[in-house]
Amino acid sequence: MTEVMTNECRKVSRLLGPSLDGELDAASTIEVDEHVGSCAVCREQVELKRAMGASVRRMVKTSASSDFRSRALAAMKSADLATVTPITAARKREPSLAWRALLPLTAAAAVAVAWNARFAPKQHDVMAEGSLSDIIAEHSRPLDPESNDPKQIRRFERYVGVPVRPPVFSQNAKLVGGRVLPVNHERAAMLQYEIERNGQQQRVSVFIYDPNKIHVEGLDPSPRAVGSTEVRVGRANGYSVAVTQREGVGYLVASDLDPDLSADLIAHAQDN
Amino acid sequence: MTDANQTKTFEDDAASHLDALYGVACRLTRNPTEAEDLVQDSLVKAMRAKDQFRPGTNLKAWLFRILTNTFINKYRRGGLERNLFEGPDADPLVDGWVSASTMRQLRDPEQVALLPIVEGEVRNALDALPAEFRLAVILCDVEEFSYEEIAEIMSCPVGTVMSRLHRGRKLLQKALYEHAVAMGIVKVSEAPVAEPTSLEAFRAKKRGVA
Repeated sequence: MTEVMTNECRKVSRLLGPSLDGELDAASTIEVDEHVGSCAVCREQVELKRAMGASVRRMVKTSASSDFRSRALAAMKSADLATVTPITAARKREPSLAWRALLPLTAAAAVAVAWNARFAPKQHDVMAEGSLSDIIAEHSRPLDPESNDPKQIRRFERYVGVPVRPPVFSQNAKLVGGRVLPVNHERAAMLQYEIERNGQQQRVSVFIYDPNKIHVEGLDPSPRAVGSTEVRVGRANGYSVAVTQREGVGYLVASDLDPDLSADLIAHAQDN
Repeated sequence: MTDANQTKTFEDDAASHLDALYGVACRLTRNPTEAEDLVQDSLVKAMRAKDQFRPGTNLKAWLFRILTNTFINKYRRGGLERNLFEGPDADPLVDGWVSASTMRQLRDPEQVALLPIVEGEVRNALDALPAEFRLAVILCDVEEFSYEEIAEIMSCPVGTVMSRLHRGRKLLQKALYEHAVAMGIVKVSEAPVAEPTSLEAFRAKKRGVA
């Protein structure tokens, strides 16, 4: 039995990994086993590799938090609904004549600063980056609110350039707070809500901005009519957004809900 | 009805791999929050593309492939692509740079793992690996994918998988060994390192010889 490395060891050493991974053919396996059986150096190599594998395994194996698990499952569900229903949804929402008259106005509003110029929208490529990522990132990892006082929040108007009136939702919703957010060289107000749905708290963020200065890119090209309100929706990273305008003010809702619910939410909100 | 049932099964099957995806994503991104984003992103993509999945094939490998591609796409602009595809050439690590008795010192005699003190260093060593080595090692050692599956997941030939594994494991071994030496766990005199580990060490060696 030797502790010195031989040429045979050098030859076998490249096969040790594949041998332990069960990837060697029978002949090579026998060759490796025979050598390792009679060589202390290589046997130690095998033991060290095994120990390293076990330690890596122990270190990497982990459980996702239950909070994240439910968020991911909700995102999967809403992604699934989104893929199953688009045809029926489009059929239901055939634009009316009055509706068509509105379209040029929206087109005119789509100017100037792009919210999300860094990402090109590629909605159908499954491996491609989604768009709207910046807005979604603000929603998914929100900064702390600057204020939870609606009066204070209304004063954001001087930064944002349009009236900031926290919307009131028909659902059981609580205003958590709001802050001003830089968007490229412009500013928007971001209001955070908690909405109770089916006994669960959902986080919803509402962005209020001047649509003449900030243009949200990456939305579905065709607008929807929800009641008498025109809404455009988009999806990214498992979240959904819905965008509308009222009295020259842009409103964007970002949530974990599916796009239809987000659209409903923003369309039925009352400005306070 | 059948469609809804199939979706349910697909969704459940995919979700059953969430912990595995998350564990690997944590080491890929080296950041738990980014890992959550990456996994959620991947699962949503999987749901949207579920028609492209061929039933009867390996769902777990398919999900990991989406995860890997999403990771590459997401970080492409950050310059990680170079790391992922070219990767720095590992220095030619000489096999058998540690004697058998030194290697024995790295192992915990009580159990089949490294010494606890070295094990803590495994995370650092793993995180320091180039992304493509790190991913290959984790897919093999933790998720126990076959070389062929790893090749599929990483979109590369099996030979490349083998070399990434070999080099990745050697680099791990080297990092752990250096840590063990620094901690005084193994004695340097017992471990003739064939390659100098830094320029300074190389110069010191040259001075010693001259």
